[in-house]
Amino acid sequence: MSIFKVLLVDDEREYVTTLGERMQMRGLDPEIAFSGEQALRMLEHSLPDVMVLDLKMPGIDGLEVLRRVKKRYPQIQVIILTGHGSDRDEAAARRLGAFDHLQKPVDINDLVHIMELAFHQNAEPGKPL
Amino acid sequence: MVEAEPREVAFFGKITAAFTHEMKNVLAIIKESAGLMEDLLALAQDTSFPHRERFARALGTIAAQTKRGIELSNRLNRFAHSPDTAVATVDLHEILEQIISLSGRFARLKGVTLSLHPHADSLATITSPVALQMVVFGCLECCWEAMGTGGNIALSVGRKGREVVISIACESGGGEVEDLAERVFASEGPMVLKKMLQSLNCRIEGSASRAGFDLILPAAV
Repeated sequence: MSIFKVLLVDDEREYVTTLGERMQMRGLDPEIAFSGEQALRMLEHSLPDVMVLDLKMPGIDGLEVLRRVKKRYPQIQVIILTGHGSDRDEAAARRLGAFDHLQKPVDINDLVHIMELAFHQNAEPGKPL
Repeated sequence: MVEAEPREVAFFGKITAAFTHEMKNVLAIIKESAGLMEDLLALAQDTSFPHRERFARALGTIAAQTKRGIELSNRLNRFAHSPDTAVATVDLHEILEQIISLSGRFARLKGVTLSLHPHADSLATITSPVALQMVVFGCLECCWEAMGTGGNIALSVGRKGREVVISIACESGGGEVEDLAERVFASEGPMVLKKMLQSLNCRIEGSASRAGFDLILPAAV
């Protein structure tokens, strides 16, 4: 059983589905949303500990999702995973409270490690990473 | 020749940047799919799997080439974002790394290698990132055309009073590499370097001791 709950949000279906499968093989059991709207609807029923969020998506984009998540559910740790990362987007994401900002593609083991850090940071706030 | 307007350059950059993002998405999907196959192969470690080694080798090739594709996309993406700001503080080392990467294929076709010597300090100038890249590329082009086949072009950065210097040195190779600075100044190709050098407030100085020249720009304060 997964030690923490994960939500992956990305409109690139094949990418996020494969990423999810690889996470399953590493002991996580992520839920997947294919849009910002779907992710926000899912949060009304169940809150993840860690969200991995793409930035550029049709409809509500990643920065807006991040803004709303941090306002309503500040306990959720959000990791940005994007192929569109400008310095300006990264600065905005960090200002809004993103735990980290990663560029696609990322090494799966690095990503899982950062997700664990995010989860533990939340479980033990103030603990140095 | 009709010169490109800044807004046309910006449009070109915007479209190119969007496509590099899409290319990165494609490469990311290939990478994860190959990664999943590697995971599955590792899971089946104890079971017999015909051609396991060949399969693993092919997956390794996919991973390596995907990595290469991503690096190329990142370089092209950074280049495409160059016109985002008409004038910016430009780190000389970073922009030379970028130019070397973008020029690599052109140089290879001439049998010339490009190298960048590190500098301890971060040196910057305030200029048009697009124009500076064009000027340095144009200078490199003059060099490898003059060098004939083979050799190395060494780039380095330095400081000279209140100015910063990009040094370009042609090492070995054949050809006639004397008076390179004059050749650059007289270049009348698609990039009229003389005009661009002036617009960048950039001087060019030849070197008596080596085949090459220096581009001298105002340092960013």
